Amino acid sequence: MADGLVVVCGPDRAPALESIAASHGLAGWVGVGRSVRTSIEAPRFDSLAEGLEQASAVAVLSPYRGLPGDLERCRQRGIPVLAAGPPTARSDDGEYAPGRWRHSPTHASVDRLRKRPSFGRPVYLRQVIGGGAAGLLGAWWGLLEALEGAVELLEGPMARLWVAAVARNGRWHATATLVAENGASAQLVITPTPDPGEDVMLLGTGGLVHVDGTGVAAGVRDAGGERRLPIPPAWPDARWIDAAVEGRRHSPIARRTRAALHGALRRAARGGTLESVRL
Amino acid sequence: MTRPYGVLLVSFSRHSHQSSFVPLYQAHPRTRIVAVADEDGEIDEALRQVNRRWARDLGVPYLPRVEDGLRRDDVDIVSIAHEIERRSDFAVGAARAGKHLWIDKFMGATIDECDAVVAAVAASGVRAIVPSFHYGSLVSHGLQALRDDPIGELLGVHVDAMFSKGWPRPIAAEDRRPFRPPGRWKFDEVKRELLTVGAYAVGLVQACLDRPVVRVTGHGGAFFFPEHARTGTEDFGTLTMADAAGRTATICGGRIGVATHPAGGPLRAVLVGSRGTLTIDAKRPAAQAFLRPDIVEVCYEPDPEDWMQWASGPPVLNPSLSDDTAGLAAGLEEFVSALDEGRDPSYPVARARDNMEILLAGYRSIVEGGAVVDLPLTRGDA
Repeated sequence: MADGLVVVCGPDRAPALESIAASHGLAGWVGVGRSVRTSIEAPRFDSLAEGLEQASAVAVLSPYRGLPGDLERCRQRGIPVLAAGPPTARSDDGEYAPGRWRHSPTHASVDRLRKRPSFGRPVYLRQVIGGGAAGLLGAWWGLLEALEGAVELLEGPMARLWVAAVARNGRWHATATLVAENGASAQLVITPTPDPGEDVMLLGTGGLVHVDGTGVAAGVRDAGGERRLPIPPAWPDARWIDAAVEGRRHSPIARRTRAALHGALRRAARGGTLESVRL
Repeated sequence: MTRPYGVLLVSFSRHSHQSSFVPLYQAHPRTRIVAVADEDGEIDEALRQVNRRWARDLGVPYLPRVEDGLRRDDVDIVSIAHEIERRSDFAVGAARAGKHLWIDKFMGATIDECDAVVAAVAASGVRAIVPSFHYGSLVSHGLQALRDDPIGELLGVHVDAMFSKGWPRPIAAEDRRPFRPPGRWKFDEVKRELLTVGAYAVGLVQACLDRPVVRVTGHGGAFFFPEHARTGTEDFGTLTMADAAGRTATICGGRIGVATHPAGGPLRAVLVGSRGTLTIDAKRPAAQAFLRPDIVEVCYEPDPEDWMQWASGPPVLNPSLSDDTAGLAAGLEEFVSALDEGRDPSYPVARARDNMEILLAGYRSIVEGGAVVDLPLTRGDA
């Protein structure tokens, strides 16, 4: 993508800004939601409306309430936008460019390994991924991404889906339990902390593929005890932007299912219930 | 010096873990095995012979009626490892006889049977422990990690527990039977694995959530073994739960086949908090052994006499540094301390009953196509 990219992100996605800044000419960035901290040197705009003066393109990494209005402003100015999730629960795809998860090295590895004949047929997927730091909308986007990945890894469309959710001070933790038409299942966990989804366990009839998300590659032991030095997670956002510019995919999650998932998340958090999602 | 607690071993039935308890009783300075007993008139000849062989090897008498053991003054603890369908009868009888109870994994086959054991223990004033679900590495790692409040308010608990045992084979479509309701748990070469393995995961959920689980939905089936398909039972299953505070928990449990994990099967958890996410691996810390013959030459095919590997296991490439991952030695230490101090163990039988009730709700949900089942279950039909 050409210079002049303005990136919008919330606290759930702030760590991804660094890799985008390293690979793209950033005109600046906009923080949405509660405090967004980053060490990148690009200018920070108070709002996308302010940033549009400098923007030749916009990438939206996190959802926020004002997104539909900002998208309309971009349309009026003819500025192309990529959004990692749907603008609203009931909107058409519009600027939605599905498949950010596809550019995660973790997903690529798991996907490659499960295609070995020895893997057999898929049985069970466990994935932990962030998103809940951006509230209900963030949990919703996170679950949509996780579900899209699960449908691919489980090799079958969804037959049944339940969600549970709990919210504390705007931070959401949600789970989705998916049963595919082939009987395989997934338990997908959305955390209220930034997490690119590198903890993935995929069980097949031939065995187990597991990427341990703790990412510890070095440790120091000194007088103060032990400290683990994690390798920074590989956020897929920069590669997603490049790929989405080349051509967009369609989400395997139907629009009515996306809307139903949004409503089910809200009800689950309000009532402490397990909500079945109409597919 | 106070005399050691005398232990009566009730049954070495094939699917139970009495043989794993024996070395613990032998090693503990406060316990002593005094007899082996079973109901000779109700068990098959193979088990009769196994029981007798154990009694002979241990140098203690074999009693062909459990009642005979309960009358003995030198019996303080009854170690119950009969088939799950008979355990509650023995547990209730032993409690009424004033004996303390060590119970292998599950107290009964139904929630009513489990309730009966809890009531008998309370009424008789004896102490009782189900040692399997609270004293192992998974729970101890989890509670230790949570003690310093590293993740803020706990919002969810997610656990994967699998046994890398058995020899999976393709399942023919004609072998598949409808999912069987809970109640009968064991067949010749089958244990119901959501119960058998998932109970460890539920143990961590119980330990972490201080409010009861009130809603459950489940999914399960036969994915690996024709034996499970033919009996309408599951070799793998999942539960999704909500507690009374609205927090969430998910677990899986299953037997996934030999040589699928370097430490005998994953036993790990993710605890989600308001400020952070905590990952626990009960099989770590571990040694990593890369011994060429163990990788390229070893035959992983199980002994034909123990096809599902109830009493055996494959070579473990990454053995845990702990010699008590399952927590049975820690459970016995806790039990002896509880007896000495005249208190209940930290994981009393009522909690073990609750563990079973969660799993029973999951089974009911699976039978009903994934319907959400509320807890507590209605008594009389679960």
